[in-house]
Amino acid sequence: MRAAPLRALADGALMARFFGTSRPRVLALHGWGRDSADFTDVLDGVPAIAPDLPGFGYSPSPDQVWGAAEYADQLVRILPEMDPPVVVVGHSFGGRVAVCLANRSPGVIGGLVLSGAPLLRVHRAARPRLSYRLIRWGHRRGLISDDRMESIRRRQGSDDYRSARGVMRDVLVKVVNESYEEQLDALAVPVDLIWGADDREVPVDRARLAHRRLEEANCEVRLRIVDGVGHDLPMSRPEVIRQAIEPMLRGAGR
Amino acid sequence: MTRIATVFGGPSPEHDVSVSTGLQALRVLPESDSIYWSMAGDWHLTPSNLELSDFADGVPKKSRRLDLLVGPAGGYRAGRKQFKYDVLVNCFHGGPGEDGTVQGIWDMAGICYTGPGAAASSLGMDKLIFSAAVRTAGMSTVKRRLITTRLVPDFDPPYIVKPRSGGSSIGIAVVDDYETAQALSRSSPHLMDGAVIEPYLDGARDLQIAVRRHPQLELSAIEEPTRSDSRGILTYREKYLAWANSQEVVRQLPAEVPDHLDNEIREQAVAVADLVGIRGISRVDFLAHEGNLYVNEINTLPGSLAAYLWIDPPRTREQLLRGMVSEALANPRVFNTAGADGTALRGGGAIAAKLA
Repeated sequence: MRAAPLRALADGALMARFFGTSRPRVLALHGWGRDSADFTDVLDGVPAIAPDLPGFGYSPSPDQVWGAAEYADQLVRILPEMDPPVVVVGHSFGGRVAVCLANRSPGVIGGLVLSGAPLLRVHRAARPRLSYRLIRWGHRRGLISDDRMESIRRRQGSDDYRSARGVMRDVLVKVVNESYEEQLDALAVPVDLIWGADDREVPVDRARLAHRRLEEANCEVRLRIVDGVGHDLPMSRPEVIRQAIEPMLRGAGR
Repeated sequence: MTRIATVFGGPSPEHDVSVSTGLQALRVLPESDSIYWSMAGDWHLTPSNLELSDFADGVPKKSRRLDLLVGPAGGYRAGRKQFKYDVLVNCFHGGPGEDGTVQGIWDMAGICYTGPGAAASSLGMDKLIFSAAVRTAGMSTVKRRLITTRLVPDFDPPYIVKPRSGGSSIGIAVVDDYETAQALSRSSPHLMDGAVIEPYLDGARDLQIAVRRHPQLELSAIEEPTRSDSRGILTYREKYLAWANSQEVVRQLPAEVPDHLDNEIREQAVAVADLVGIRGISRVDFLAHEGNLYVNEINTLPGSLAAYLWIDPPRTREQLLRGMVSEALANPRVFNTAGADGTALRGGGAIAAKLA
């Protein structure tokens, strides 16, 4: 199965792939460092748009340090192309954006299908080691060159951090420190949480946490755990996401 | 003994693949020095036995900074110490290491190097001029147009958008309409130096062959990389990262092609090699679509130097690299001054008279 060709939206700020033949009703948001082609098997024949989120795939990077809310603001520009109520599929980082988008456009969004999405922060970000903080201080004072600082930075941090360039590194730092309690409490649409049982990047515990919080907020929420799958659910088990989309499109989830 | 240095890295989107090609060449040529061109653009003499991961965070430890000087006494230096090499094994991919920029500088520094010279490199890298040259030579290419604000394409979407210059699949996209092509050409960092548009030929076969002209003209087996990927074009990952994990290699080698197509590919690959004026090993890429054969691109410094294609005739990596080294040594760039004998200077009169 080949991905749909790209189409420019929002004056070229978003490159997106269109699926299906009728007016799109599903918006699919990919994970960090990935792109819209990840949804090729999930969305085959489904009336859907999968954009490359700014800074990924073929979409240009934002010019400022965006958080998930600013990503959602940008995606609002796609909604006029779609037939409401829109079902938003969000994987991992895309799930953070999906939750913000549902808050931002409550009348348009009809449901969320979220997989592997870190929605609630479980602990405070650890403070960097003293040695690293000293080096950063030295860099600010001009005692350590940009090249040297870059090389030290790249030895710190996660793979995502090391791979991120320019503004996207700051976006990553901002986003991983976000937590969406308020947005979850305000959700007024059905939510399907679908998790790989072996997800090491965003373990199932974090899904349970979000599940409990949504239940307490009287949200219609289901948690489905898929055995034998890790973090990259849309690629490894596309049919599971598809099966969640279909009833939501029919309104059965409401 | 021939003093060899293998050069790799470079300020290019294909930096990482070049490091791989370079480290492979170093294993095959154990006497070679190792020169790394960093993404920031400076040169370093590095230990010769490093692994890929040693380059993951930039310049490896225990490297020595080098300067590259042009002029008759040019070459690589560290302070006063000169590192004199008879030949450089060029393992760069993309950017200034493949487009003729560094080749011109090596020419000016009086250093021999493998792979094509400056002019041939630049012809091979510019997809637009390359396809025009191929058509002038009587071969077929797909339609290829420069993306501009004024052009109205004379063929229907979907289109393939490619960087005008660049030897890899980086920056290539399949788009639905011309507006998207234009928007991409404005925003993608890979397309900012110019982008071209081509028709997307559904069901076309990619067929690739390597060619060398020294010690004698030889062609490799023909391979067919398969477009398995959901992105609809051969991705950078498929095409160039396959070495990282042989499980990922998706190709048919040798490809199953009828005799007449096999002959046509071989004939045209040689014609393209002569037209561009290659040295070393080039890979010529074709598209076969509905009974037509199109010359698609030439890659004058292919990943891993296309060594894996030489199964028939079988050639070892060492045979190929030694062949490239001897070819480079036999073809130093000599600046031609024949005819500039001073006659026009001695009898030329005063400059003021020319300005009058």
